[in-house]
Amino acid sequence: MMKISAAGNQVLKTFAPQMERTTLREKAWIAFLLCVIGVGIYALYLQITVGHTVTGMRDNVVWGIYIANFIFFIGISYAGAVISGFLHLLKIEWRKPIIRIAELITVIATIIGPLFILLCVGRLDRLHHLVLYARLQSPITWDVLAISTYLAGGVIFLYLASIKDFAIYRDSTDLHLSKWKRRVFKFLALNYHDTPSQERGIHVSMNLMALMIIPLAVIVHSVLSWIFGMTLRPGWHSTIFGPYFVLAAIYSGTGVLIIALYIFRLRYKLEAFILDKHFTYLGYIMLVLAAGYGYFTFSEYLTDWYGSEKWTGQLLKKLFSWNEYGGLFLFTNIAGIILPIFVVAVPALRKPKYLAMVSALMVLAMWVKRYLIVVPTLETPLLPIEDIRPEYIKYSITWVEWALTFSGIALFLLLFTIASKFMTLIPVSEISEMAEENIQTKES
Amino acid sequence: MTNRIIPFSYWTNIRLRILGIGLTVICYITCFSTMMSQDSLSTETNQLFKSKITLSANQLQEGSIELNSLLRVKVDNVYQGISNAKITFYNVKSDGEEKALGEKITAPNGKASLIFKAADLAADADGYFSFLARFDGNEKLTAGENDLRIHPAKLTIEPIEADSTYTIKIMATADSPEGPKPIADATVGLYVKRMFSSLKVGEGTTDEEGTVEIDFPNNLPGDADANVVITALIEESEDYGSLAASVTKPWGKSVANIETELPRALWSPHPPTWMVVTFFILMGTVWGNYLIIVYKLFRIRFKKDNTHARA
Amino acid sequence: MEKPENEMTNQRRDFLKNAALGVAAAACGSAVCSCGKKEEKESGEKVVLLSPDGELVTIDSSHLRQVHKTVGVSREEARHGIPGRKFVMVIDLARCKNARKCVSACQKMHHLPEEKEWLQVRLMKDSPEAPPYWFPKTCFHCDNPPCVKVCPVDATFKRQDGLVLIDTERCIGCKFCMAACPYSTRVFNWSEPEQSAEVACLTYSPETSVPSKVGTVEKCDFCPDMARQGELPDCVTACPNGVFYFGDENEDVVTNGDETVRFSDIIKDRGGYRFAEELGTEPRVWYLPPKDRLFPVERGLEGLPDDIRNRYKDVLGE
Repeated sequence: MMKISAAGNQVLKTFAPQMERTTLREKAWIAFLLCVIGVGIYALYLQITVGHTVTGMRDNVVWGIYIANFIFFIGISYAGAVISGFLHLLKIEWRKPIIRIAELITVIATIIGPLFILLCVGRLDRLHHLVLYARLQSPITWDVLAISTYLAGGVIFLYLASIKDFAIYRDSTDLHLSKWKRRVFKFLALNYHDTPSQERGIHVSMNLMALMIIPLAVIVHSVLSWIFGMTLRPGWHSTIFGPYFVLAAIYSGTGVLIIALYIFRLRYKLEAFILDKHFTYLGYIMLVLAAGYGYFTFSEYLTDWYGSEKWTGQLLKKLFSWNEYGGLFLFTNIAGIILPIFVVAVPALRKPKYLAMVSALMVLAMWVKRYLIVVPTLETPLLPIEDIRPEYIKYSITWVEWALTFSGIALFLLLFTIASKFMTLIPVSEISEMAEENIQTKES
Repeated sequence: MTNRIIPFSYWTNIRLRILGIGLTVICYITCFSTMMSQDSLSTETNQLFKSKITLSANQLQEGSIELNSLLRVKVDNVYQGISNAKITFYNVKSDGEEKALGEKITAPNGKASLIFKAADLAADADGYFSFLARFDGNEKLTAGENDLRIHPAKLTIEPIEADSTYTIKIMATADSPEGPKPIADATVGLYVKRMFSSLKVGEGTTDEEGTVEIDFPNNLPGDADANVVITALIEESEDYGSLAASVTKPWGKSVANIETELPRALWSPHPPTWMVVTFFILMGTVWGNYLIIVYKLFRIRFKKDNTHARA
Repeated sequence: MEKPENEMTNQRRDFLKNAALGVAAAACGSAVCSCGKKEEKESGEKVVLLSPDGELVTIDSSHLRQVHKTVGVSREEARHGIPGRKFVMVIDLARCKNARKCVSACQKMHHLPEEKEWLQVRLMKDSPEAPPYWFPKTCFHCDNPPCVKVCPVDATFKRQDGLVLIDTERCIGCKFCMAACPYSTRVFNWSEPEQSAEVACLTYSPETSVPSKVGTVEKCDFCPDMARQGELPDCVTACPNGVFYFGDENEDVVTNGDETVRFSDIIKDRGGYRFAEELGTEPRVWYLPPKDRLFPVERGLEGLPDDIRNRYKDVLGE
């Protein structure tokens, strides 16, 4: 039998109904998500049979929101990779209730991100060519290697952190699981019985992974930024693009983590475990990242604007003009930099509710920012577009692309829902004395 | 022989026949419609087009003559070459007798040419050869012919190499019973053969002796062995047609930058070495660590542990 | 039952024959249908042809199979290039009047629909005060090609003879090369390409770039199949003003069909330059500046269809 703390028992009790059966409400929720995904599958069917002509992409804007989604999802995957990896290495105690959610975000987002880059590929039937004829010089090859390595790392990290829990689920008598689920847990828990040597094994592995996942995450997002950075295009061909993307990714990942914590706290009444101070601490992290991100943004555009090279100037004119992308550009800077700093800086606003709201706004702004990185640059080729077909001049998102974007989000939520059927969203084994004290104060 | 095979019943027969007929009809319809829909050839009717044929000659080395004909028709006020037409070339003797030299089918641009030895041709009293190119015509096109009279002549070409300056000496002579007679005052062009066309590298006019010396540039690229094909040419003279003679000399510069293997580069199939090394180091480190962790997990799964669960 | 057996077999044989014919016809029809993309439009240009049975026919030139023929080179040869060559193009901007014969010849020879232009004629105006000029733009076949660098599957490649080609049977359609090319040279088949059944059934070679394939990238290829036969690319021969010179840099000679000149001489004498040299892509296409022009720039607008004329609106400031 695995030893469980009182707080751990509390957690197990909280999530037991969730893991034991699926309520009608949850079934409806899953059905809804499946419907959204279904529409996306139909859109994908059209895109494959009719061709990419059903998207808004054309010869100038060869990539659209798919690639923006790709960067976005890989970006939010940083939530677990960096936050939990970093906090694990620093042995920060308050991380324990939130790491499971963070790591789940990492793995699920890393699964969904690459799906979006596949949507940009004209010949999905030749995907094996990426392995068969791989060219090491292409940033896409780097991406394939880096993301698959990163995904493997994320899965291993999540699994290592869950083995103890799986052992607990396997042994728990309070948990009324169906037979097959218990068998799954028995398999997943390996032969873990909390012996000192086993625990040391897990511990050493965790440290190793935490150490590796951070440089890995940095490499992945740098490589991703180099898809743009390695081309000769204004707004892309920038030396700070690697760090800029990395920082933006951690930033948006933190935002998504705050939103997720807020929603789960509300949904499962986890006030005893996810405390206000978690939000405050994450808010501080967000503040630092917002400042860093703002600094990078300022540095990037100041340099471009000051140098005023002709081609770059054409791009900036579009980004700064109201008739083109001025409004969106302003939005990304206000909602993506200034507002988060303001909300965290003012003590009266530093509440979970406001932090979650500003995070949602910030995450949206970060998505728009990715759009502003991809599309305006592609609409500004060196030789001005001489075409009178409107769809070749200006990119506009079609319903197919929206449908697939929303199915990506739906898939993200669906995978999260499925995951919550197999594990407690707060690790039972890790839950600390701190939380235990908290329960007692609440109960008294 | 036992009547084991049960023959088709009458109705089956009828049915099969109907099926067969049906399929035949479908076959015919398919074929017919395919034919109809095929390249909508519009045949010009009730009008005889006037064909136009031109003829020129090129006297080559070693007594060969090349006859070139061009067959065209005027459609919408524009001359266009007629392809696929048969052109017959003749040598006309002084008594008017036509001796066929050969037949050629015109190319898509309307051109046809024939090369033959001049040795067994009949010359007229003045020593000229007469040629005739004829298109027989058909129900759509008028027949047409064109003749040409040239005097046999030849160019001799002599490369002179002195102190790394190159000169080509050319002698133009007309054949006559008394022996070669110099052709004076003829403009001779000097050409070098290149991939798509010939580059003119010099020009001169023959003197009384029929000779001219033309300098050859010494900075011209040749092939891998520095060889260049040099041609002297008198173009379209009235009496002789075109006269040409060629010689191959290693007078060019050998092209050194012919690559057979692409270098290691970002744009070649071979990646730069540092990239391959970095790739293996990075991947090896990360996946090596993964393997270590997986090994540790295997130990947890399969290693018997005596201290079962801590007290 | 009374019928003699041999009659039976005869009937059966007839039936089988008819059926076979029908099946053959059906197969034939379906073969046409399966490759049968949208029908090719007539080009309006006529060609005179003498048919084998003595008929003189004019046919639409688009029906003539002046298809780029596969010259029987293997895939390895097509990737390696023509030995010892280094192709180069010189475009004389002083002679261009936007006659667009190069564009239509290219489209005809590669069976491209009207809106797909591998070769574009642009109207350039380098600064507000600078005079406008016509600028024919092929693929530059760069020596440091940004497109080839980024290809993840070696589908677009640089050959030893200088050409940058695409193997559309390997291309996965990621479009990275299109994003990487600073010259907007490449086009993508966003849907099933418009080409006749006959063209769609041709054997593909990277040297002919025919037929087009959905979901892949294609572009100007400098017609290497023509070069193998010692013939010039179609745009070169189609130009009425001799704007395009093509040749082998190793031989130091370029020709536009009429004139043959030394490449180094023409670049030296006419102030030849490469477009956007500062990008470091090292194009294999050189331009001669539009000095002492043969035609005023307005000549290029005469008789243009509206949809093409409208492209130049921004430059003309209309």
